[in-house]
Amino acid sequence: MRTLRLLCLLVAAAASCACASAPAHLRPEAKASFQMGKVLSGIEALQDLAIDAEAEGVMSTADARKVVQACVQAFRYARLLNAALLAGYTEADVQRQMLAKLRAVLQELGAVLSPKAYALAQPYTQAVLALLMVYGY
Amino acid sequence: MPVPAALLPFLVKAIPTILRTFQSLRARHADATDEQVFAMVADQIKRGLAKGEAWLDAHPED
Repeated sequence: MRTLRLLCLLVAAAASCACASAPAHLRPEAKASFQMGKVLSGIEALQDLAIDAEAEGVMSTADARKVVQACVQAFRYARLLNAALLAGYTEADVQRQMLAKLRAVLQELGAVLSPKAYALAQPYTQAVLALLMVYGY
Repeated sequence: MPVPAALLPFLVKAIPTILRTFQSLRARHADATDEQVFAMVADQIKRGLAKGEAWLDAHPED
């Protein structure tokens, strides 16, 4: 089991290194979309965690529902923002919106989840917030 | 879920293949046009939304 975890870690590290940064030739709007995709990977991981934890009995259905609802809301914001970027909105406009909406969704989880559920979800929410910080949001 | 010890050598042997796959994906990313990036992210959003909404439908509030 420990070996499998180590293998998963190595594969994840390789994946993150292989897909590290946005191609240089992209327009600023496409670069912002690329970076949003990476942030969304964190949101996907958070959603998967809640679904799996509920299925394994580690998280209550009520808590898992709150996490999944927050992730669905984040995906809806992202869909609007991706469409706005495609339409040529400036990167700065989108960044401001990303910051406000995603931060609000993630921070609200801390207030509505049980302490046990939040202890599970917090590393994932922190990872998404860290990615936002890396991209300067 | 324990992994049968017999599978471990195969998993270890698979690492170079997995790395090559990621390199190939990276190359594809490196060549991606703006439109392809928007489309990839739109697909990612669609998948995440579909999974989340399906789960919420299957677990309605009491």
